[in-house]
Amino acid sequence: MRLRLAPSLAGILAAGLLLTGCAGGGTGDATTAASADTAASIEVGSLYEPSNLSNVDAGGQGVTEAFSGNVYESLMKLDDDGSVTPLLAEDYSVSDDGLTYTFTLRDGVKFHSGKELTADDVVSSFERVTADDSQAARKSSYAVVSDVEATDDSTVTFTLSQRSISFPYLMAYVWIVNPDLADAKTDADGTGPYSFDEWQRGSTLSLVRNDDYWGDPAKNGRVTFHYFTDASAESNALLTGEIDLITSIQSPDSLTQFENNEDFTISEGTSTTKELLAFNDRVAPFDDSRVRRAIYSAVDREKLLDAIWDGRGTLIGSMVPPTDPWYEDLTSLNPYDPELSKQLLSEAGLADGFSFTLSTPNYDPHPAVAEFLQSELAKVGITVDIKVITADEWYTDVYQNLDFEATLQEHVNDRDVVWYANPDFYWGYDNAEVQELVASAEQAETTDEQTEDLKKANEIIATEAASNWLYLYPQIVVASSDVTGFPVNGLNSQFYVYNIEKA
Amino acid sequence: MASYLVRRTAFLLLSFAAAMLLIFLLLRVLPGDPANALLSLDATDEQIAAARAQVGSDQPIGTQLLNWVGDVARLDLGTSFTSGTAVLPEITSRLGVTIPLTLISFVISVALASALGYYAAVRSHTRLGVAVAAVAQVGIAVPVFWIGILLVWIFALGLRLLPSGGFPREDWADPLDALRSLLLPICTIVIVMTASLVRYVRSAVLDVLDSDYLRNAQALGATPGEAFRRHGVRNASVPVISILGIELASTLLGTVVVESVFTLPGLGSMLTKAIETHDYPSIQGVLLVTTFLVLVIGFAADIVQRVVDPRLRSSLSGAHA
Repeated sequence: MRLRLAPSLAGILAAGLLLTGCAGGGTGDATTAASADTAASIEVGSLYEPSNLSNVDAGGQGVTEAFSGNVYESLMKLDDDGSVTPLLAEDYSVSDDGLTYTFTLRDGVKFHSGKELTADDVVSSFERVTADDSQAARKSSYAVVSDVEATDDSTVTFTLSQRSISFPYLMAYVWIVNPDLADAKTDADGTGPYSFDEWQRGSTLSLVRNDDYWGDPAKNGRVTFHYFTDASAESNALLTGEIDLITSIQSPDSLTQFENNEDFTISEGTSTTKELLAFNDRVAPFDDSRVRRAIYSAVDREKLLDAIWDGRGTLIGSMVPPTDPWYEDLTSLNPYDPELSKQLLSEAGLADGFSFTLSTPNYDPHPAVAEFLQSELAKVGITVDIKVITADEWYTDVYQNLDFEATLQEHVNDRDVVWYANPDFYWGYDNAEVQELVASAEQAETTDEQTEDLKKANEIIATEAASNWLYLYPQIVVASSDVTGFPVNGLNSQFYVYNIEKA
Repeated sequence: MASYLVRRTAFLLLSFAAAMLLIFLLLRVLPGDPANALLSLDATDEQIAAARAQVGSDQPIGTQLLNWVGDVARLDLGTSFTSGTAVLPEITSRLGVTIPLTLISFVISVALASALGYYAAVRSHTRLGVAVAAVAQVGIAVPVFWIGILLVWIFALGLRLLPSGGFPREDWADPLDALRSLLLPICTIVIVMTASLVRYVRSAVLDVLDSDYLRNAQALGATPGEAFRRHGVRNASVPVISILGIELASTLLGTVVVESVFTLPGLGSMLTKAIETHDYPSIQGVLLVTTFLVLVIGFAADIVQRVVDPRLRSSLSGAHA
């Protein structure tokens, strides 16, 4: 099978789009403001200051937010709607056996330092992600690559040890970084529409438009991220006009001051962040799916969402958010039904109820969620002992030592249902059929097959209530009303800023 | 005086060494591993091992302590686990916000508190004098962040006169701009600090006013004002100076809250972020520098007190141990 994007066809399409005047570029949600100032400086408020500027050294979600797609680009691009398209790759092809991926690079791409992008840079960028000391997310997924080679200046060939239909998607996570850059933790050199200007630690990080950019130039001249540790200080800054927008509102309380105020717009998109009540599926009674389902049905999630998010956000009923290609609505699979819950408990031999310890991270919203669960589960005879722990204790006790009964955690990434196929993962869900389906999905020849397999797997996982997926966080951007063109979904903490315009 | 200085310096160094040990051990008693801050939710065992090696948490505590002490002796506060940058230059740059914030607030507070405290003492029987003392009491009871929020509400959100927070990207390149950013934070600290100082000044002045030597001076023909200026000021300042040292030190440590309310890139926000990410070198560095400053402030307060008060000078130069 060959997957190839004919450049000429792409060119014709692009020309057509330009003619009809709908070349949105990028996220495609940009509405052109009346008298937008292309030199405008956009001031962005965020709670996520990077720890450093590298995405393989635990820079955190802040560096993804500021740099992904803005300063650094990848061969492939993960769009705000969850789709994957070529970016620095002009096109790519796959061999019939699915084991060789050949990427052809775009012409005329330069790093901000002025150096021309070559295939060697792609190889070294990939090796940076898979290096021994790399802390890159999804690093284990790249183990499937047995060899990577620059076949010529503009061609890179990846050889896989087995089929991997997600491979192009995974390439969207590999930033292409100039290997000549001395220290990627404190400086940056990418190919994106912005170059890194300055980082005042504890305060601001600024980007300036790259006038030598290979693609459509950014619609503003400069973007500065302002970092806050306190959400109300962030809201105040927006109210006083010191910042133009807030990338992600984390508490519904702060929304009241922007509602019914024509100076501001509130946009609600779909995040990929799921709030999970995860059980240790290895230990009794959670090794019995009836008990997990009983707990799921004992909780009025609608009411929980109202309490935590003032009704915003979505109920999902599984690990799959709507932006994943294998999403289907499974919210009614384990309905809120206390009678059903009691029945399931008595079937599991726990008619008199039982008690368990819920290891609860000490930061929002987990403590509030834990108390809600405690009162809901009391109604069906289950006693919840809340044990409040730090994020650090969570990592050591729950994630590494597997020393817990049940826990709360927010899982932020897209496409992460596949973790249920790993019996060693912290929640210890072990189902051979799911493991086979996930493996076969990855080996699939077409994305349709992959989607079908993962849908099946997800249905099993959800039916068995491997965990309880309480709700999907809303993604709320509040902006001054003269600002348009920001991404609404903020998928995976990405925040493309090049289409933002200020009137 | 010289031998006192030697003894006082030895005590300073000893306290510093003890503080170092304490800072180091306290961090290690906390649950969790600093390597965790470097890991994501899908970290593999080898990534965990690499992170532990990188931050050195796989080494015995004794080795870690010796390494740290050796580095500090060479004035090297290490490299941040998370940012990969040297800790000392970052602390120095953050001090560019914290020190002016603390010192300006301190000087204004001392001036205000001296005037108000003196007034409240001298006019302690009038309504206004009582009112000053009462307002000071209220000022002490109100939390710092609340005053900060109130000021933001009035001057930033309401009147739009001043920014609600932040600090210029260019630091002190434009001093007026920088001062504008610091105005509300300074007011916040001044309100709290003045309220607390007024009480001490008032009671010190009341004590002196009640003294025989002041009555004597007045009996010998001096006006009350002259008598106080000549004989009272020095006596009233002795107890106040020791309090000033403590106040200055606690303000330095207390800027954490103010910096958070006003989003200032000072030492306080560096510490909060470092604790959040379990960044030992940064936590240790900030604590070490602040401890050092606090000890030096205490040292200076003691010396100044002795310079002001001849009785302490003589008693300590001789027999007093």
